[in-house]
Amino acid sequence: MLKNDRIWQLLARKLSNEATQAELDELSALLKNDEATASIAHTIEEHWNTNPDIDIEFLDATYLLHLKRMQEQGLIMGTPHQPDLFLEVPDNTGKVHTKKIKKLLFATALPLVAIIILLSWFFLHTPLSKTNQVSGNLVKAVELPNEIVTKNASKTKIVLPDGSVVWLNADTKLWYYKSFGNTLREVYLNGEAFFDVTKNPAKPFVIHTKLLDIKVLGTQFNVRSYPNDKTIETSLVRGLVQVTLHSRPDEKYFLKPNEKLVVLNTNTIDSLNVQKQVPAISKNLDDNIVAIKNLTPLQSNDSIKIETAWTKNRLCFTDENFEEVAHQLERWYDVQIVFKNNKYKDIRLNGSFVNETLTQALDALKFSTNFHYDIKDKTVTIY
Amino acid sequence: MANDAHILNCNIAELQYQIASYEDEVAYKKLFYCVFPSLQNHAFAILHSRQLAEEVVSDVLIEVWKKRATLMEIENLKLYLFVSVRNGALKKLQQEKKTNKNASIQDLQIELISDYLQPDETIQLSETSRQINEAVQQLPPQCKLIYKLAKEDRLKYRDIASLLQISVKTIDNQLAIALKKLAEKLSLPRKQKK
Repeated sequence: MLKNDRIWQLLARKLSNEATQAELDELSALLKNDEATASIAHTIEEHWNTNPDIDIEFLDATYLLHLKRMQEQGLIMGTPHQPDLFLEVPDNTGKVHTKKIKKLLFATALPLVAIIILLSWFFLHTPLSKTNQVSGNLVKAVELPNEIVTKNASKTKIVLPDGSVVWLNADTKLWYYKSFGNTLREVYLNGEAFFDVTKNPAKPFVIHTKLLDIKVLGTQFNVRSYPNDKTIETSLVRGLVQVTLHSRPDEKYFLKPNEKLVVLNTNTIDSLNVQKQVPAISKNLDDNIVAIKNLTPLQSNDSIKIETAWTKNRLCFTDENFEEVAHQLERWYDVQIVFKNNKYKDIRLNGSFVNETLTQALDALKFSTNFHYDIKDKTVTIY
Repeated sequence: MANDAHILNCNIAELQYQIASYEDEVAYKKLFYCVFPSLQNHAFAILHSRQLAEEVVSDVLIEVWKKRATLMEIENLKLYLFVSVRNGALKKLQQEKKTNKNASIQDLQIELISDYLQPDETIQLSETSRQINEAVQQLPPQCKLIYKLAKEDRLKYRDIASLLQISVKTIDNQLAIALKKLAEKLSLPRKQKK
């Protein structure tokens, strides 16, 4: 029985996913009347398909070493705000492969940009999938949106199927469906993002947020729509955008370059003192519009605007109250900020930070006022 | 969980796309976890040093991140990684030994289990698995290497052929020989337990 070399050739092809249907049939036929050989073939097949587990702890440690080597070459993974991240990796690389150290290293692992991208359409579009038989089976019939999510203290840049580029700020989710680009280019946003939309007048680009929709043809602009912020802002850098509020679907607001539309976030309206917060053009809360304002340059004659500075890795604010600034700091540094004394919430603050640590930023803000702070774990208490 | 990282369970083409399109650091980490054990094992076969093998693989994967913008130009990333690791390991071997002698496949010491793979110790290896492992260890070096690349690393015949610079026909034959040897071992009457 074992002299039939053809069986082993066919079995090898089968196990390696190289067999044609005809060859699979031939193998079945050959094994059909030879129980002993069929049983051995079955054993070999089972063994082929079992694999030992991966030692994740070992890999975690190896990956940290790898990141350290990348860092030595100036390639830094993760957020730019945590430059000291790998200091705990021991220099003596030979010693790293002990389980206790590995556990420790794992605990200090990167607060990585968590990006979940469900690219079911990818399998249909990439030429690579044609060479990979396995991937064909992964195409899902269910329509799931493509989702990009960033955590606190992380940002990311993505390219949409139409070539438009989107920078996502911390704690933001952007999603779109397979139908993106069919007639409209529609995306959904929760959080803050800067859009550089490729021109295509035939297929308008629409951003849906909780309170408003923004329609554009090709332009650069920033949208800030966090659930906990008091206002929702649409800032235009270049081109033309048209904004429609869900509450007033018949009215359209057009923005010109260097203008922003500020809209009250109805979710947080209870805690809002409109007069104090923003110079209101319309005080009619029904239409939610607070103001159309000009963008604020970081410094006079500066081309960097406060509204879009985050895309240049800068955290900026001018004349904003501490409570709103706290939301920004929370997202930027991945912390919780608690006010023990409410009087500090209304302090107006200015600030511009690039690579400062949380402590450096708080110390700088403290300079102009007289609050105290205390950092414990990831909670900052202002008192 | 642990098996998510296995080279069998990850779609390298998808990770490649995510890294190239989104500079996706999570996808990069995933790719690292998926391919590192296989690549390190391959480098070790040439270098006989875990430390050096790790360095070679790390360098190759750093290059992947550096060229992320043009990553989609690589048609078959998995094969590309194996070939890069082979080249890197051979270069390192020359540097270390300061000799010009090229290592041949006959010199390679193939190990089926790498540092990163842990056999489940709670389940006793069955007599059958033990027999098969023993038979695999007794295969001639080239035959063993081809078996490993096909089984452990799930490389296609033509990828193994490019990597080892031999013909697809040879792969086909060698793998048939490997399975036949395993079958011969399994068909022997079982030994009495000690």
